[in-house]
Parts: sequence; C-alpha cells; structure tokens
Amino acid sequence: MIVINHPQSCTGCLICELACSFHHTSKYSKSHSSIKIDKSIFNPKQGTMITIYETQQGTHPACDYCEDEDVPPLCVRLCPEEVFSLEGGK
Amino acid sequence: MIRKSYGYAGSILRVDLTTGRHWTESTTKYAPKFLGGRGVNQRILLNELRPWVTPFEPANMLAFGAGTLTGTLVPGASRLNVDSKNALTSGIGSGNAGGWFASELKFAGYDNVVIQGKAKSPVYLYIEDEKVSLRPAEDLWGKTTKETEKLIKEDVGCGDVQIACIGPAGENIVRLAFIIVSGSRAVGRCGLGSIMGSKNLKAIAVRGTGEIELNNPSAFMSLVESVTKRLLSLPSVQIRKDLGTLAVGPLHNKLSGMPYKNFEDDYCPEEIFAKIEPEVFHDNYLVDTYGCTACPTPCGHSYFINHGPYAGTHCLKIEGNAMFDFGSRLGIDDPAASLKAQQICGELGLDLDNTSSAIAWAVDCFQNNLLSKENTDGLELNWGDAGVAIELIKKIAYRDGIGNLLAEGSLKASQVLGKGSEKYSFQIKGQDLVEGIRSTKGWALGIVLSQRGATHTRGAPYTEYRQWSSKDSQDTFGVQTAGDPTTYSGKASIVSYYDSVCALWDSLGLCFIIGNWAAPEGVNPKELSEFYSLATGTEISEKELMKAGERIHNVEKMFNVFHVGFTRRDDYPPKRLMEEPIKSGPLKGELLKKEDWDKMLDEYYTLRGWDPTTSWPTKETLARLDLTECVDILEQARQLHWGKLLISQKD
Repeated sequence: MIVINHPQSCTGCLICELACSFHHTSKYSKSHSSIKIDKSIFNPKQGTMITIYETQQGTHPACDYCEDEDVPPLCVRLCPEEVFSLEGGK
Repeated sequence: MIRKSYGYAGSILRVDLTTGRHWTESTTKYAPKFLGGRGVNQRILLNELRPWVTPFEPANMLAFGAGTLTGTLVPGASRLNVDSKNALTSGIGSGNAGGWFASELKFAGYDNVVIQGKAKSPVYLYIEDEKVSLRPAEDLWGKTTKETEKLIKEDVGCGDVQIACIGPAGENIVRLAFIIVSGSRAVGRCGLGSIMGSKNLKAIAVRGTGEIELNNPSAFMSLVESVTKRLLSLPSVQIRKDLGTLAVGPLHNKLSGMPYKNFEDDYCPEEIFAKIEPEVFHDNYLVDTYGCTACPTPCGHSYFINHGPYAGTHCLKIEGNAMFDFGSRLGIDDPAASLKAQQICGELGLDLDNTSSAIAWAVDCFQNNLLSKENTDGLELNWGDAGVAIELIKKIAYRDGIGNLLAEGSLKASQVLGKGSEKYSFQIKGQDLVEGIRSTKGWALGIVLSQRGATHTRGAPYTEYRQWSSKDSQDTFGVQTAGDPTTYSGKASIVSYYDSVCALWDSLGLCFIIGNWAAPEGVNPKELSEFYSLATGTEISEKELMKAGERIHNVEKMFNVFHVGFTRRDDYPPKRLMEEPIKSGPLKGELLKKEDWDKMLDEYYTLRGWDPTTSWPTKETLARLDLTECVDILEQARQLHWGKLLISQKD
C-alpha cells in the first residue's frame, strides 16, 4: 500500500496528483487521480491534507498501487519531497 | 469547441464585460504559429487594439494565457501570462506568474481568456468548465486580495477554485497595481491590476475538471522524468529551493548590482547588507514552503514574524527584488520591515518594484528639497525609515494625499512636480528600473531593451551573475563573454538569444528557474522543442521554435512601434547611469559608456534585422518571420509617429 510518511513536507506542487491521473488515463487531470492534495498557504500550521482514494469516488479512481507497472508507483517515484512510499508490495 | 487538441485545451474564452456576452474561438486560429500563452495574447492585442485607445478605456483589452505545456508535468509548467496595454508606458503591458491558476484554466478547457469592455458595476468572472458567468462583486469591492480569495471561495461554495484578483489599489486605478494569482503569486509590473480595476473586474475564478491529452504520452513522460532528475541535481536550482529567489541578493551585491539609496550607489554597505541577507529571512522567519503546479524545486516560501513591531505578520512569498525594493534601495536594514512591506503590498494589490521606486523617488526629492512636509502630509521622508515607507504604501493604494501623486508612478509624478525631479526617476520607456545595471553590461542591455519597460525577465542574461564559463558561453551563444560582467563585446548576441527564449518560456508556460538561464544545464530550447512536439503532435525543430520566439518578440515590438512609436532613443539607460560611476564595492568605477552602448545597440539591431536608426523591424525581417501582415502596421506607424521618426533620424 501507499504510505504517507511526512505530509508536512508536501509543498502542494500537485506532481503526485497529475502523475496519478497519468497512470490511470495517460492524460493529466485533477479529477481522474486517486490522490487529492489540499494545501492551505494562508494557514501554514494547518499543513497539507493528502487523501488517497482506496475506493472509487466519483471521477476519482481507486488507487491500484500502479500494479500493472514494473517500476515503483509514479507518486513514489516523482514526489520531490519523498512524501510517499510503497510498503508491503503491490 | 475543440477539446481534443493535444497539449492545448483547445479554446479561447472571449468575454465582453460591457454586454455580458461570452463566446469561444479555437486556439488553432493562433497556434502553433504563436505557440500559446504570451504569444497568443500578444497576437490578439496587436490584431484588435487600436493605437489611439488609452489604457483605462473600456476598449482596452486584457488577455490571460496559460502556456501550451501548462497543466502537464514538465518541471515548472505552471505559468500564466497576462497582457494588455501598459498603464505606465502605453506600449505592451505584460506580466507572468506561477501558482495553480493557469493549470486550472487548462483543465477547465481554455488556453486563454480575453476580456474586453467594462462592466457597469463590479463583477467577477466565474468559470467552471463550460459554465461561464459574471457574478456581482459589489461586496468584494474594497476588500484585500486575501479577503477576496476567502469570500469568492465561500460564494461559489468550493475551496477547490483558483483565483486571480486585484486589491484596493487596482480598484483605485493606481498605475502600480498588480494582479494576485492563487493568493500569493503576482502578475507584477505594467499596472495590469489597474487595467482590471478600470474594467470593474475584481477577479477571475476558475475550476476545471477536464484533462490535458498528449500526442505521445509515454515518450513525453519519459522525458519529464529524465529532465526532472537532472534539474534536481543542479546547485543553482537547489539554492532557489532553499532560499527562494532571495538567493540572488549576495550575487548582486558582489558585482555591485544592488541599488543603494535610489542609485546613489549600486553597492549596499556591508553593515546593512549583513542584516538583510537571505539567510536572515530563512533562519528567523521561514514557516512554510510551497510549490506551483508541477514544480519539483519550489521557491515559494512564507514567513511569520513573531516578535517586534511587526509581530503577527504572515508574509506569503518574497522575491529577490524585495531586497532591493524595501531594503537596500530605500536604505532599510530591517528584514521584518521588508516582510511587512511585502505583505501589505500583496494584500492591497501593489507591485513592489514600481511602488518602492515611486517611494524612492519621493524620498530623493525630499532629501533634495523638492518636496517638503507641506506636500507629504506632514511625513518626513528619510532613507532607512521603514515606518514612513509602509505609511506611503497605504497612501498609494488609496490615492490618499501624496499617495495620489505617487500612484501615477515615478515618471509621471516627476512630470507633475517638475523642478528637475526627473533626475530621481530611474525609468526606461516609463517603467521603473529596479536593479543596478552599471556593472553588468549584458544584464543592462537586456533590461533596457525589454519592451514592457525596465525589467530583467525579457532577455536579460543571468550568465554574468552566475559566471558562466567561456566554453558554456561559446556552446550556447557562439560568443565567449557571457560570464564576464564588464565586457560589452558579445552581449548583444546573448540578449538576442534570451529575448527569444523568454518568449518561449512565457508562451509554453514554463518557469525561468528551470530554464537554461541560471545554469547552462537548465531546460534548453532543444528540449522545449521535444516537449512541444511530443505534447502536440506538431513536429517542431529547435530552430523553428527559436524562430517562433523571435516572431513573438517582433509582434511585441510592432505593438510598441504602432502604439507609441518608441525608437532607438528609448533604448538607452537613464542618463545618470551613463555619467555617474558606481562609488563603491568590487566593481567601483563602472558605468555605462555611451559609445560602447551604441555599439551594442548597433550589433543587437543588426542581429534582429531592425533598422539601426529607428530600431524598427524592416519589411524583410517581418517577411522572414512570416509576419507579412505586419507590414501594413509598419506603414501606419510611419504615418502616426512621423515626428518621432524624424527626431530619431536626426540623432
């Protein structure tokens, strides 16, 4: 499963969100991603709310841990802050 | 509406505020010839704006453009370009910002939004995919940018919306007003916020649930991954992430490029500089780091002041220029005051560069007995007085007292005051100069030639501050002098390279920081052409892409030629910087020599295919760039501005 290690490091760059949609659809979008990032720049103490959809919600597909790919999940690979990790295998 | 354009969203949204009507047109009308973002905005403005329209008339237009690659994962592909007639120069007005607005606009289905007309009462434009509406904004009028963000999110009942808005300064048609994007990023310079205010347009809010489709997704993503990996290993990128763009400060002071007391000198005394170094901000006030869409190396930092007279201030984002603006240029040595000034400017909607320049002019005038307490509302204007500077910011935003004069910008204010006060206004084409330029000749040439008025983001090379090797210089520009600040030779070639490349970044929607500006290893035009080809399916070579950048640069030149009749005379630095040498610092004694400047100009115009006497593009150049439709504009400009042409020919 995908583990969120240190959400306070998240900068809100949406790389994971867009990369996730790319995995599911080969396109970039926020609405077809299994990840939702909500960072409040006005209230830094609030931190970042990171949601990983374990089941489909509306247009958001469930996270499948990029199981059909030979390499680590895109969010794990591309997050520059290394917020995500894959634990327990796919 | 074409939604299946690869890379592009496919549509341009047109809105007439006077009639309330809105419609769309296909982006293919302008792309790929003008690429996207800034290029498409500028082409529309040159096509549709008449030269006799003044900036604040309803007939002026305001174009918002997301880049072709914005909304993808190309590193730094977050940028929004906003273009209009310039409130300060009447030539091209253009500004660029990061944040999350531009990608949201693409997801909503639009590459550009073009506004015309004027609403009868305050409104904001709300875009939710295909649903477009003008909503009443009387309750938002008078609110700060921060309050506006909050109230619009409440009004639309959704926090997941991106907003570009103005503060009270824009509403009050202050020529120094900017547009705040995503709460913290600014479309600065050129008074674009005042254009928005003149149209009774408080904000644009956008929410998009669509997708960006690519022609060759797997190859595109492979290139994204390899480029991102390389960027993350670059020290020049890493330092921006650690310290933000404040990191540039020490580089500038080291080369005597830091204005002190309104260009009395270009070197900040060490005892003052030590108090405003980037590490001071980082170590004492940093509370958060945030990144624009698709940025792996975020420079967005926010700061909180928890003690002293400014305790409780939360300042979102501060740029390197802030060290000049409300720091060295005004002789202010208190970082907390700089942060407070930044926070107030941001919330009231004022561009820091132009605002601090107007204040610097006023202080200089006061110190030289051209202004007194009788005309400054009782304020005593002294160098280093942060409290008075902050008071003046508020007065400017509300056009209160002396603020009403300063709200016009330093040049216009000096024309009103007269008495020789023009010598304290350091401007080019009507827009203020922010940084020291006497020591770094290529940097100076790029800043002075900038078509929106003085600015370093339109062709000024950073190679001198980063001390590029002669090999990197030769490989990139075909000359060896990029890293040598005081050499005039070769600088025209470097500027002519970067003014094309800057047009590419702003049209494709990429951030400077990841480009081959700070470091030769940054994303280069060849890679941009690969990204563009893989994204859109339109194969374009590096050479063709560079030609597109040059084409966009020439469209903007034609706007200035047509609307203002700028000539070679407008491509010189402020006179004092050509006569008064730098007084101290490592490059003490440097100034910009007239004869050397003339040689650089001649070389630049030749490289560009512009007439060296007038600086105007030749018919042959317009034809080479597939801009034959601009030949008529050239002829009309000759009729309109024959007097300026005559003067330029006599020089």
